[in-house]
Amino acid sequence: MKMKKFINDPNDITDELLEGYVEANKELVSLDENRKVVNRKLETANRVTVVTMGGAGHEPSCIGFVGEGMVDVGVIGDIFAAPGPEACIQALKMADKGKGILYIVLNHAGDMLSGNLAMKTAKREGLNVKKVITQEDISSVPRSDAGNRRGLVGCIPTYKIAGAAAAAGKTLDEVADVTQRFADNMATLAVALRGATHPVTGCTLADLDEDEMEIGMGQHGEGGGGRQKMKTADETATIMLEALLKDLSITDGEKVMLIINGSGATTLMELCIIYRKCAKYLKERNIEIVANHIGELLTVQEQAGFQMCLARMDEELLEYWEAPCNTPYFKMCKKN
Amino acid sequence: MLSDVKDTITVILLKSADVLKDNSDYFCAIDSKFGDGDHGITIVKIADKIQLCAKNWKEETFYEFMNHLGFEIMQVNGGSAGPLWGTLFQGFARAFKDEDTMTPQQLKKGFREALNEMRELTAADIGDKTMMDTLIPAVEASDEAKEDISLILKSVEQGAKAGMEATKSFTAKYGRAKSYGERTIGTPDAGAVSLYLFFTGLLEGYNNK
Repeated sequence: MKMKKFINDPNDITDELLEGYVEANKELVSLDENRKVVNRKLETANRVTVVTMGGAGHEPSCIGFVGEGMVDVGVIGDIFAAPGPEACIQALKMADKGKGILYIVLNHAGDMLSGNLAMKTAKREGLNVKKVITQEDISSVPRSDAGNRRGLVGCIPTYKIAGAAAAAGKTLDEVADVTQRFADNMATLAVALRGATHPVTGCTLADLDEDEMEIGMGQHGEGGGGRQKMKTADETATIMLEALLKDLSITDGEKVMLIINGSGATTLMELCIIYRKCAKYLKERNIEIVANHIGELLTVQEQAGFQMCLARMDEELLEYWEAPCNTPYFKMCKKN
Repeated sequence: MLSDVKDTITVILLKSADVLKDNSDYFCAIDSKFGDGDHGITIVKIADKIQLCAKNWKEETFYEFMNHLGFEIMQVNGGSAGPLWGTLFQGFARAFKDEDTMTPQQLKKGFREALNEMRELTAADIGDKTMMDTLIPAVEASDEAKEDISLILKSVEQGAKAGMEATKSFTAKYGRAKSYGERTIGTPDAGAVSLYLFFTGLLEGYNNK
C-alpha cells in the first residue's frame, strides 16, 4: 500500500527508532536487550521503582518518560503492539531495588495479557510488585464499567505522580495508593479528524470524511456524539470538557489538571486555541487549573486530533506533579 | 517420543505454519476494519517460531518441545496474540507432561488442557467475538469425536469452522474492535479466523503426512 513515511525496511522500524532515540538521550537512558529503555540512575536507586510498557509508534510515549523522577524501565513491543510477558518480567526483575516496584499498565488487551502473565511470574518469584492500571477513556462505557475503559494519555501524568512519590522515598503501598488515587480521578476524551497509517502495513486506521470528526471511539456516543460534522475549536472543546467534567463529577471550586495532547498531525496552534476555550470555560465555572500541559505526549502516527485529559487534583498530587524530574520528553524544574 | 511420530508432528506443524503465512494478508485485511490491521504480521511471527522450533526439534519429549515452542511464541511482540497463542501451546503441552505418547486420548487431553489454560488467562467466552469462539467448539468437537486421530482433527476443524463463522454475527467485546460495537457485525473476528486456519493446517498436514 502507498505510504509516505521516512522509514527503511518496515520490519526494522521499532529497533531503528529505539537506536536513534537512546543514542540521542544517552545521558539519561540506556537500551537493554528485549527493547527495554532504562533510566541511567536506576542502578543506584534505593527506593520504589516504576516500570511501564507499551507499543511503539506512539512516541514520545512511553520511552520518552524514562529518566529521573518518572519511569525507571519502559518496555517496548512492536508497532501498536505490547511486548511479550518475558520482556516485562525481565524489566520488573531489573527494576527490583529491594523497595518494591510499581508497574503501570494501560488498559489495552495485549498490554493487560502480558502484564497479567508477568505479574503471575513475578509473584511466584517473590518480587514485591504492585500494579496500577490506567483506564480513563470515557468514550466507550460509563465510569461504573471502568474495566472496559482504555488507557490514553493519562498514563503520562500517572508516571509523573508515581515517579515523584517514589523519589520522595514513599513505601510501595504509599506510592501505589497515591498513583491509584490519581488514576481514579482522571478522565480522557479523544477526537480524531483524520486517521493514522500503520507504518508497517500501510493501512489507514480510521476512515473519516473530510468534513467529519469523531469524538471518542464509542459507538454509542457516550463520549459526546461520536462521529459528527466538523465543529469549531470552541464548540469541540466545550463538548469534550463538559463530558469530562460530568464523568468526574467535578463541581465549582475544585482544582484540576488539564492536558491537551496532540495526536501527531494537529498543530500546537490548534491545541492552544482548544486550551484557551477550556481555560475560559473552567474560569467561569470557578474551577481552577493548577496543573497543565499542551503538546505531544502520546501520538498515533499522523493521526489528526487531540486527547483532552482532565484530572481532579489535591495538594499531595500537585506536590508530586510539581516535583522536579528530568526525562527526555518531560522536564519539571525545581520550584523557587 | 518415537521418531516416526515426531516426524509426523513436525510435518503437521510445518503445514499449519504455511497455512498461517499464506493467509497473512487476509488476516491484516480483516483486522484493518476494526483493529490495527496488523494481525497477519503477528501471525507470521508466530508461524516463524513454529517453523523454527519444528525444524530444530532437539527436545527429548513432546512436552519439552511443545512447552518450549509455547514459550517462544509468548515472546513475540505482537500485542495479545503472542501471550494467547503461547498459552494455547503451553496448555496443550501440559497434557503430555507425564505421558510421552500421541494417542487419540492424549490428543483430546491436549486440546482440553489448552482450553483450560486459556480460560485462566482470559474471561472471553462464546459470543465475545474472539479466538475463543473458534477454540471452545473445536475442543468440544474433539471430545465428541471417535478415538481416532484423523477423526479428531476433522472434528476439531469442523467445530472450529462453525465457531469462526458464528463470530460474523457477534458484537466485539474485546480488543480495539470493542470500541466499534455493533458496527463489527458482519465481519468475522481476525483471531477466530487465524486459529481456525491453523486447525485446517493440522488436518491437512495429517492427511498428507
